[in-house]
Amino acid sequence: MTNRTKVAVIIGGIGLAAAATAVGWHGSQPSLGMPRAHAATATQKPVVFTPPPDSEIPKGKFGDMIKLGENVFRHPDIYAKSYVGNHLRCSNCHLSAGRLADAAPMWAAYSAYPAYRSKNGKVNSFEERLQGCFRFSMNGKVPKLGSKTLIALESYSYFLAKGAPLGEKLAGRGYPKLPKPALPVSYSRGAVVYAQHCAACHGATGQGQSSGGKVVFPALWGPQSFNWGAGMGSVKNAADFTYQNMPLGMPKSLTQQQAWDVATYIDSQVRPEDPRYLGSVAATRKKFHHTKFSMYGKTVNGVLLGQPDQAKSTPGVLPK
Amino acid sequence: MKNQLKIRLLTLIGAGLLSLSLSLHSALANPDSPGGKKIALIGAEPGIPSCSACHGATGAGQLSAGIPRLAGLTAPYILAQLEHFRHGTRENALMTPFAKKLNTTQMQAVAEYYASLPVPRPSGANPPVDQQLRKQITMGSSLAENGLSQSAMPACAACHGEAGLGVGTFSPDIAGQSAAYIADQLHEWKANDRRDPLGAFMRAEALHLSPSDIKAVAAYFASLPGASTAKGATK
Ligand code: HEC
Ligand code: HEC
Ligand code: HEC
Ligand code: HEC
Repeated sequence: MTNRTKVAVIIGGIGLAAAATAVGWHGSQPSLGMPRAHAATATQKPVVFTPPPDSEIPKGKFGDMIKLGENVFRHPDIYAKSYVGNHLRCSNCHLSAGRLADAAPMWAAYSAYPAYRSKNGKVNSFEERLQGCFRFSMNGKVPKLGSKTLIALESYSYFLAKGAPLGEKLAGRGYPKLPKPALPVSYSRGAVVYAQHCAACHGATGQGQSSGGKVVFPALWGPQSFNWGAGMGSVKNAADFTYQNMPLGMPKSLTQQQAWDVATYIDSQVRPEDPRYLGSVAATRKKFHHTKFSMYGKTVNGVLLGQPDQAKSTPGVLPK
Repeated sequence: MKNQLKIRLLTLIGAGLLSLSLSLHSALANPDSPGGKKIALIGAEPGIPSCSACHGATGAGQLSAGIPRLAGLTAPYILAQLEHFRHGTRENALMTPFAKKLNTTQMQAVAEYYASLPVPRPSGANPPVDQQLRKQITMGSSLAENGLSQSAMPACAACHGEAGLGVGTFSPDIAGQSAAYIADQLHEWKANDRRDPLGAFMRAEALHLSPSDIKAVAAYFASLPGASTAKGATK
């Protein structure tokens, strides 16, 4: 057994599910009829699933569309240029280009739609869910339903979800939910965590860093980051994501309290305005940010967060 | 492993003496060399071999012996590593004694000198004819760009940039670095040597890598063009 298989097995869980994980990773013999994922049994344990490797992308026009989708996901600045308004990539928050379990993977999202979302009060198709991340996380413009960009992303997600059971609860969807913090969250403790564990990569002012003309460490706030309407702007999502995935390569090395505190710190900084702005910060907070997890409309260090023009973007300027 | 190291050291000393005499020659022809250059090419004081004895007259390193290239690395990175060697945070029998002979001003000067040198074209950058090497490079490029999502190992590119050029004062330039040196470092991290405080990130990374993964990523980064052309874009 190779080292990598061993790791896959440990991570994958126990028993049959683990065997399926290892098989799936090496991408071998789907013809044996060994399913990649095992349907939930009576115990309702979430299903463990492993997406196929890129080498299984089919040849031909459909394969080309899948590849375009992966390119959009990794490099939206190149492949979906007209729709993005910041220097982020989909893969900055959906790690390993949408493959990594517990980092909101696309294979788990794909089969979870259509679904009702309270965010817009209606049943959303998968394409509509994709639109949301362009509008808020990418601070951009929404590609039209049926546009090549959305079809490419849908094709890529469909490919990743190949063999995943439809309508079952998949282990690894979204970010694992943290329990409530033991102490009330603290901006100032968060600032200390940030300086010690995050600033080396994301920069002391949260603007990220580049190399060779490409952003390597994405901006966590400021003009090149996600806007006030984004999922990561919720302290809860940011805490869940951070605990599981940051610092990069050292998952779960912070305490849960540190994750809550640093998420509070990040989400209490200036960022591009909420595109749903209703003319006043107070009204916008009331309608869209009526939750203790949003810092929008609160005053932190004398700054009323969420005012338009607080973080005007200068297109094309890369962090150092 | 041991034998391999011995052979490497022998080659190293042989080649070192040769380049030492060569570099002495060219440096002496230029009497008003600034401090850093003098330390690099002649030595810090009489009787102490110069850096170039091992790292080569152009700072290119000795790729097959696993002596790293210094030319074109950033000055803060070189300085930080010299301090780590001096204080014993980072250990290496060959390198430590030389770092101990330098004071901070000398370190700064020699760091700036090497940072200012153009990156030599890595010998590994020639299109490989060897089938096996080509396979390794392909596998290495996938690890470098994608990581291993099954074990949550981040892509090398996520910290060193897509072209391996490094990021600010955080991660060093590894494009066109010696494959033997890259592999040595990864093996040491995998064996749980942290090297220095920032090395904690590499230790976490190396724990995911199998020996064949290490060969592959080392071959891949060694094959990348150094920063010579890309450098301008970085700054
Ligand atoms: C700044 C971080 C960020 C960026 C960039 C980002 N997303 Fe998201 N995305 C999120 C968060 C946070 C969620 C909500 C996860 C949750 O609810 O658990 C999410 C959810 C999703 C979902 C639904 C997941 C599910 O399981 O229901 C899809 C699909 C999605 N994003 C696609 C994209 C695409 C495509 C892009 C690039 C165009 C993108 N995202 C960019 C943060 C981001
Ligand atoms: C080793 C460098 C490194 C460190 C340290 C680090 N990050 Fe990250 N972070 C990254 C990288 C790289 C990404 C993008 C991941 C990708 O594209 O694969 C990222 C992505 C993110 C994102 C989502 C993208 C965005 O712009 O919002 C958040 C939030 C985040 N990091 C928060 C943190 C926090 C909080 C800490 C400290 C606890 C931290 N990071 C420490 C490298 C780092
Ligand atoms: C006897 C041979 C030898 C001499 C002379 C020598 N070095 Fe080194 N140096 C090495 C070796 C071997 C390594 C690799 C150490 C390791 O594997 O950790 C190294 C590593 C380094 C590194 C770390 C590079 C990196 O990428 O992390 C720096 C910086 C360095 N040397 C600078 C110098 C300077 C400056 C001098 C002259 C003052 C010098 N060296 C003289 C053998 C030598
Ligand atoms: C989480 C961030 C991160 C990731 C991912 C990462 N590195 Fe590094 N790497 C670093 C840092 C930080 C250093 C500097 C370490 C030090 O100063 O001791 C470094 C140093 C190195 C060095 C030493 C260079 C020298 O001149 O001594 C090598 C070689 C290296 N990395 C290779 C890799 C390879 C290969 C991968 C992918 C398998 C990788 N790194 C992934 C952060 C990272």
